[in-house]
Amino acid sequence: MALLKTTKLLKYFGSLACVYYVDLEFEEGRIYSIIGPNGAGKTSLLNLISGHLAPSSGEITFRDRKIDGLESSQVSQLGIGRSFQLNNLFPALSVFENVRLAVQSRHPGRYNFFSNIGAYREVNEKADAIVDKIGLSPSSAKQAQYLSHGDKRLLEIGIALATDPALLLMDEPTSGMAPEETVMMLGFIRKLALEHTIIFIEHKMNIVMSISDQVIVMNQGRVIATGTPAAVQADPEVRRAYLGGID
Amino acid sequence: MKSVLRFLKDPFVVIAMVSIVFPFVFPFTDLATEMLIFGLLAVAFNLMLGYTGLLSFGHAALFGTGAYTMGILLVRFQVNIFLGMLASAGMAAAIALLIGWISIRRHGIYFAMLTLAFNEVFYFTLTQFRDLTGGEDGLRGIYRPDLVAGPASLSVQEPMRFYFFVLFIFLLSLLAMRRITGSPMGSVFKAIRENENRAESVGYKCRYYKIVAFVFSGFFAGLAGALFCIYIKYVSLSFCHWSLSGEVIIMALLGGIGSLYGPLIGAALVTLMQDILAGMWERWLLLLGIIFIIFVMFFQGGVWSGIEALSSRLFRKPEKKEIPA
Repeated sequence: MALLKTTKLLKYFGSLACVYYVDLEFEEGRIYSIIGPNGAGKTSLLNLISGHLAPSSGEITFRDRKIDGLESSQVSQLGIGRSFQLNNLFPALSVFENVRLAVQSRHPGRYNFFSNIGAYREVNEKADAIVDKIGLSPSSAKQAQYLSHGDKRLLEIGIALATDPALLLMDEPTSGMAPEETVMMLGFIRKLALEHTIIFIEHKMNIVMSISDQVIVMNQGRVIATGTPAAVQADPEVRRAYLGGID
Repeated sequence: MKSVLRFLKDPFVVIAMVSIVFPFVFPFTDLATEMLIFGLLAVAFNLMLGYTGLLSFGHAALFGTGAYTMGILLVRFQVNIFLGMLASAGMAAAIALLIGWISIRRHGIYFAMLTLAFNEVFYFTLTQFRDLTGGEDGLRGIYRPDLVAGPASLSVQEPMRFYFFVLFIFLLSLLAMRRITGSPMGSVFKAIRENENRAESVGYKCRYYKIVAFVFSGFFAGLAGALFCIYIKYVSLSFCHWSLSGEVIIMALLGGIGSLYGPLIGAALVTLMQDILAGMWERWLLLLGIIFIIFVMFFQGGVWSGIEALSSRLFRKPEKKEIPA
């Protein structure tokens, strides 16, 4: 059974189809990457899955449950985590608080308006563990807005992780990162894949080819190829539409 | 000794102590009472602006709801003072629920305009129900009831006694609002202020939390209205006029919206200026406007952040300073 499935997924902005009849299936426990030139509809596809956009038509099912049309908060509660291409943090709050808020979103105590914030030890302990996992323990008390770009990218993923997602959607996790940071992120994503199914958008081909189980190539809203990295690299249409343009 | 010092550093304790001593050094007890009431209103308002990031232009309607409910209950039913205040705050919370439920669907300036529109609708509705509200004449015949709890009763006619009664309610409310802002749900309010989109993405249904913030804010604004009603023993339409909503915004910004207590200072300053300057110069609002502009342009943290900076300089502690990267 597929963890996530899209059926004839279609999204129009005005008369422009940014996602055009996309049929995809994602199996549990694998790493999928979505590649394609700018404007191919990669982020829109992620937005449709995460509930940030509602499809014009078509269906998305997660664990055989229809999720298209749900709000992003509902999709999140079902177990789909999302990190963003541009940093999307709580800037004036501490690193710890950024993560703690995400952990708390699963906890019944989130409706409590009369206890101290420290009342739920399990929430705080888990937040600490995640801050540690993303390697930001030394900056735990620092406001998110003062982190370096690389650390912000890590926190971005940490927030998504803190919601315990079965499926993790990442929009260009390495965007703007220096090469050595990128290598580190690569190792991190590999580690995450042990616990989460991952779908990520990426522009850096070496990353895509080295860690993906499956690559999905999009162009002008359509999926033009799916397959293993090697198969996709050999596909003539992909070479014409995308890879050919680069090398 | 150390714990006493820490206790004294708590702003709530400082405010409580200052306001207990205040009427003995400040000769105008009624004015001091008024400062407390508007302080309560401004802090309640700031639950939305400072904590949740929602600018409401409808708080006059909530304050007015509290005042009218209290007034009507007193005139018609000679209600118990505590019951009346609870009902007034509850009524304001209900109105906040209604206004919030509809307005919260829009963001930013559209939200502010919707709350302003509701304020106007509310104002003109009150002028229509003359039998109940007295229309343009205002509601007359209000008296200040004794504090009655079971067989015990205490008169609060005397200004000093009334001040301490208001102070009691004020501190209780401040404590409650402090618990709310420090609670898990309060942390969600702050998350919404910081980044509503992301709060939604990690699974918070932000609309729900914003309505709750509005209802809390309405409850305490209504309580302030009820207190004002028995303070001045009269309710007029001007309590609901949108210009009061504007005045509350000025109080909050002047005092500083970054903390729970900042708006208190703003409210005290504006109330004081209103009283002193209005007697000397009829165009005093011009002066308030200029001060407001200067604060918004140059001192965005308001008076409170100035006080904080000053106190941290006085009690210089070995600070672990984070170096912004």
